This record gives sequence, C-alpha cells and structure tokens, in this order.
Amino acid sequence: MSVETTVKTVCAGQSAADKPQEIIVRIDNLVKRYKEKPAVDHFSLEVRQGEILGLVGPNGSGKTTTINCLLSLLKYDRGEIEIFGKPMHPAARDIKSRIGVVMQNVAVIDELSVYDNIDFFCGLYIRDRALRKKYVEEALDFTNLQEYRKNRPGKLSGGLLRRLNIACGIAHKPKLIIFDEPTVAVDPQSRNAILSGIRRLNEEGATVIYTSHYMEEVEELCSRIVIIDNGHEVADGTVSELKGSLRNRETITVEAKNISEEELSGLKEISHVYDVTFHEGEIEIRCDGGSHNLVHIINYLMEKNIDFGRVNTKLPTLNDVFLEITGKELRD
Amino acid sequence: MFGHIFFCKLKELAHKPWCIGWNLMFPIVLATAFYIGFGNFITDAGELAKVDVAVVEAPETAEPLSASTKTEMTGNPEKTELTAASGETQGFTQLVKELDFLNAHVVSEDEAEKLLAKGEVAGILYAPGAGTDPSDRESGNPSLVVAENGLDQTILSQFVRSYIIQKREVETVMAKSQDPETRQDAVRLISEGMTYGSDDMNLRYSEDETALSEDTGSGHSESSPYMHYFLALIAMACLYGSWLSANVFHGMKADQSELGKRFECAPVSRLTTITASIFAGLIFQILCVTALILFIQYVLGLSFGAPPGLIILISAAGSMAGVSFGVMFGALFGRSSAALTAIPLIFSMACSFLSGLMIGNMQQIVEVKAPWLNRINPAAVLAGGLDELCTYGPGKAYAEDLSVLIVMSVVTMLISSLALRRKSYASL
Repeated sequence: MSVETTVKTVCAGQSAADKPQEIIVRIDNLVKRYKEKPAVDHFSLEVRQGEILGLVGPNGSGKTTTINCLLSLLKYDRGEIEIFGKPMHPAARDIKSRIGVVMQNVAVIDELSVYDNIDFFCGLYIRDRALRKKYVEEALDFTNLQEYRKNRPGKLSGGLLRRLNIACGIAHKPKLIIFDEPTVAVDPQSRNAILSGIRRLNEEGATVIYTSHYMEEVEELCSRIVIIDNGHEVADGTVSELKGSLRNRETITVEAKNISEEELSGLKEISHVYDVTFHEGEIEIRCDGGSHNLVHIINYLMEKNIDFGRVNTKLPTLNDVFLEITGKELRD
Repeated sequence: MFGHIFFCKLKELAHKPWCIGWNLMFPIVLATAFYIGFGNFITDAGELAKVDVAVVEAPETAEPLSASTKTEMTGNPEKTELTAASGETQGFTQLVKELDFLNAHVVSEDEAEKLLAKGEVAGILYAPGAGTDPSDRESGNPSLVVAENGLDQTILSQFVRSYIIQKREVETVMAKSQDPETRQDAVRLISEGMTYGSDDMNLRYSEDETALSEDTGSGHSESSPYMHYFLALIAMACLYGSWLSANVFHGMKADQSELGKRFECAPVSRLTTITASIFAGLIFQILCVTALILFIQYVLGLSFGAPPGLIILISAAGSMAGVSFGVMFGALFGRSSAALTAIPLIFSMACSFLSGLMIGNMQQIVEVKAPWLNRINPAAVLAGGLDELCTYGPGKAYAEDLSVLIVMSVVTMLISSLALRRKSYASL
C-alpha cells in the first residue's frame, strides 16, 4: 500500500512538469462492473499526443476492459471518456474514423487474401478507392507483407498473421492506435519487427496505447507507463520514474561458501545496504541507492577474510517494479 | 459502404468451404441421390405399376354431400350420369376405379383391414362419409389409412390431397357464382382434372392424359410423381439459409467474435454492417438454390412443369424466410455459438421433415393432425407453393404462399430488429 502511494505521488509530481501536448484520450473515473465485481474501479487516464503509453497489469487487472470501454465496445457503469476532445460513444463515427485497433486475437477474414483483408478493413474507413489502394500498398510495405499479398491467412505463419492483423488495424492511417497485446505468441524476430513498426508509426505522428504482459517490450517501447491492478491505477510514469520509485536500486549477489550471522549483520551496516540474505551459497545484498556499493561490499568481504567467488550486480528492471507493485503471488 | 461490405461478404461466403459444402453441394448431392434412389421410376413414370388400394364405401346411412355439390361435382359429362345416380361415395369409388395408376378393390372395412395387414394393398381409401374418424365423415372428405410409409402410400396420399383441394374449389365456385353456366363450366374443368387425376399428382400416365395437360397449361403432367421430394428438398435448401445467416450474424457481433469487435470499432453503423452482410448471405443462398433448381431441371432432366423463373421467385422468398429466421435465432440466442449452429440446423431439418422431405405424405398427415403447423412451417409453405405452381401454374394459391413467405420474413426481421435495437454489450 505504501509502495503504491509512493509511486503515484512521485510520478504525478514529476510528470506534471511537462504536459505541453494536446490530450488525445481522457478517461475520468471509469467504473465497469461485471455483476458486482469491479473490473475497472474509478480509473482515470490521460494520453497526450505523440505518446506511446504502456498500459500494463497482471491478468484480470482491467487492461482489456478499459480498452473495450475506451472504444465503446462495452457499456460502463460510471465515468467519462473523451477522445480527441469529444465524448466517445458507440455512434461517434468521426472519432472512430481516426482510431486504429489491433486486437489481442487475430481478427482477419480467412477466406480473403492478405491484400483483400487489408483493403476490406481499410475500406470501412476510407471510401476513396484510389486513396485506399495507396494506403493498402503502404500498409503492405510497412508490415513487409508484399510477397504474401495473394496468400490467404491460413497459409501464413503466426508472425505473419500478427503482421496482417496490424496492417488491417493501421492501414487507414489513424491518429490514435490501440495495440492490445499484439506480440503474444510470436517469435523474437517478428516481435522486433512489430515493435520497430510501432515506433515508426509513432514517429509518423500516431499516438499509441500499448498493452502487454512483456515488461521488456514496454520498457523498450513506451514513453510512459501506467500500471493497473484490480481495476485501478497503481503507478504512472516514465520507465526511469517508475524504477526510481523502488527502494531497491541495486541488487548485488556474491557466491560464498560460508558466512556467519555476525558477518551478515556487518554487511547490513554498510551504507545504503538495507537487506542481506544468504541462501544456497549465495549472498544477496539489496541497496537503496548510493554509488560504489560493490566496492564497499568487496572491501568488507576481504577485510573479514571471507572466501567469495563470482560477484554480480543488477539494476532494477520494469519487471521488478511491476512485481514489487503488483505482488509476486500467483493470480487466477 | 453497404456495397463494399456486401461484395466482400459475398466473396467471403463464396470461399467458405462449409457454405459451398452445405448450402450448395449438399442439396445437389441429395437431389442426385434422390434421382439415383428412385431410379427408373422418375423417367419411366408412364410405366409405373398400379398401386393396389382397398376402397371402403360409406354405408347407406352415412350423410351424403349436399345435393348441389354432389351433382355439379360430376361436371364431366362422361361421369355425370353415374355419380349423380349413386351419390358422392359411389362417384368417388368410380373415380378411383378409373384412375390408371390405381388398382381399386372395393371391399368392406373388415376385408380392407385384412388386405392391408397382409400387405396386398398399399392403403385403405375411405370414400367420403366412410372414414373411421368422425371429423372426416362430417367434412365429407375421403381419408386414407396406410400401414407403412413408401412410394405407393405417398401416391395415395397425394391423390387424397388433390381430391380434397379440388372439392373445395368446386364448393367455392358453387358458393360464389350464381350463373349456372359458369358454375357448370368451372365444375366440369375441375372435375376433369380430378377424374384424370394424373396432373394433380404430377404423374405421367399415357399419351391421352398428356394431351389433356397440354390443354390446361404449363403446370401439368410433365413432371415426375417423385417431384414432391425434390420440392421438399428445395424447401430444405432454402431453409439452410438460416444456418448461413446465423453464422454470418454471429461473426458480426462484438461479443462473439474478434471480427465483430473490428466492425464495432469501425465508423460504420451496425445496421449497415449487419444489413449488408445478411443481404450478401441472402444473395448467396438464392444463388445456391437457383443452382439446385437448374440442376434438377437441366442436369437431372426432371421437369417441374412450371416456368423456372417462378420457381426461383418463390424459392427466393423461401430463402429470404430462411435467412430471416437465422437472423432471428442470432438475435435471440446469439450468446452461444453452439446454439447458433444447433438451432438453425434443427429448425431447417424439422421443418423439412414436416414438409415431406423424408416421408412423402408427412405434409398431409400434419394437415390432418395439426393444420396450423403447415401454415407456420416455412418449408411446408414453400413446398406447398411449389406444389401448387407445378400443379396448377401461377394461381392464387401460389401468390398466397409467396405472400406468406414474405410476411414470415418481415415478421422475423422485425423481431430481430427489436431484439437488437440499441443493443450495447455488457461483456465481451
């Protein structure tokens, strides 16, 4: 609880400084219940133009429900949603025409070729045939699907299918693109291609909302990250802001055969060390900041004539932030 | 936008293996199976063996038909003397005896039952006023008892049905027309058809009867006695549209498919998306049924005895009814994909069964036991309409059946639109 409060306070304070861009998405106090169970619980969010916002959270945390409410696919119990400064509702076609959606599951028509699929979905947004043809070709180029243009989806590999799914979602050149876990079950090469494609879309001016379970992807791609758990926001900030919110700034592990309780207590006395454990021949030392922690620790071990082997130091990742905030216990 | 979705959906359906398999190929395969199964009976109907039938006449105390009907029913001059003298029962008996395709044994009821039990006759025809069922006796209609189902029994059943239909027509003419000459002419024409019977049953008997049919228009005599099975098959094929549209509809719903979510996200109204998709389904279904009709007519060489355009027209109405029912199932039971597969399938097969696809005289059995079922069963209405068209040409009955199918489509569409009106999703 204290961690959540800290993270929100720190990040809100830091991100308030730079908000020059127009707000593209505004979710205010969104509540969505399934029967009595809240799936989204008083959730608020602002996404600014040009951002790649990572919306992350454990399974069942409310990410996809939020996206579905945002797109007016789901009716919600309470709250307001505005996109491009206008209230979003199921019949808001002017808003919908500027949104691209890449769903979690591949949503293409198996009986149509790659080209026809992209053309069909692009045609739902673009009426002009000549312009549509140009956009479809560009989408084929963008996703490197030119050589598969005549293939049916059934003939494509998982990675190519994902790329087709993306092409269908972005061919009409939307201003806001929502990616709901687009890299599930794809190989690293395809994943890299997808991520670099998203980056290019962003560079071309699209605002992106990206949900994923893969923290390394989010860390690599997103300019801002919102962590959602149990339907409400528990952290919001840039990667460095979120990492900075953790107490653990560095974890040092040292292989050692034996160490006494007294010597472990001595390690804890070193400046910035706040936690020391010894388990199966490995000392794990957590530091809450400072510099030269490794030097101080090695000096101490040598001073006490403690035999030690390999030494490793690790800075916190977004995954650590995520686990610390949302907990390590398994969810349903 | 409508056209864009429509053409893409049509293209999609034309590439869907199950659509091609079930909606196009399966009815054609079934038609071929019927054709092969019935063998030479279809093409050599003129050489059909006679159907043995026991005829039970009404006892003398039985109440006869009204005097005017009795007399004028025998408008055919050759029959007038005989039937006028002996009452409707004897007229009926005489008619049965004269039919080329029946071998009538006029016996007592006990004897008839014995013959039926021994299998020496295909059924027992109770002359008007002789039926075992009091309602049959009161109505003055003949009735039929059979021990099993089969081709002979179907022929007998069709004969009884035709007799009753024509008798009603005579009674209608009697009731409406005051001009004795008109009445006499109408009765004569109708009773000629009844007397020679063959045209009612789409049977091909002899050159004489064929000559008669040529006089009476396109809807006579050229087709096979088994044509009823093919008509019921066309009705079944039309109702397969329910399966098609239920599946199309299922794919358009955001809470049922990922594609549905994509459609919901697009700046296109749900009405446009669904209407265009369903319309594509309807056109596809009509094309499939048209292919079936043309296959039966030109590949199997079976004549419907009616202009193909009119057959396709009422089949298109039947397809529309089938598609509309599918949409209604989708709107009412859309949450379960299993239900959306099972319900249209059960619906189309049950309706087809009741319209006589598997048992030729089923429609007549239903007509006796629960006539309202034939009025609300789209397959029965369609098969009936086709039957009327092939038998009598494009008359009032055809137009009525066509209208009923259109009304069914409109009503089911209205129910669907009420169920879908402003629907938003509580969960996906």
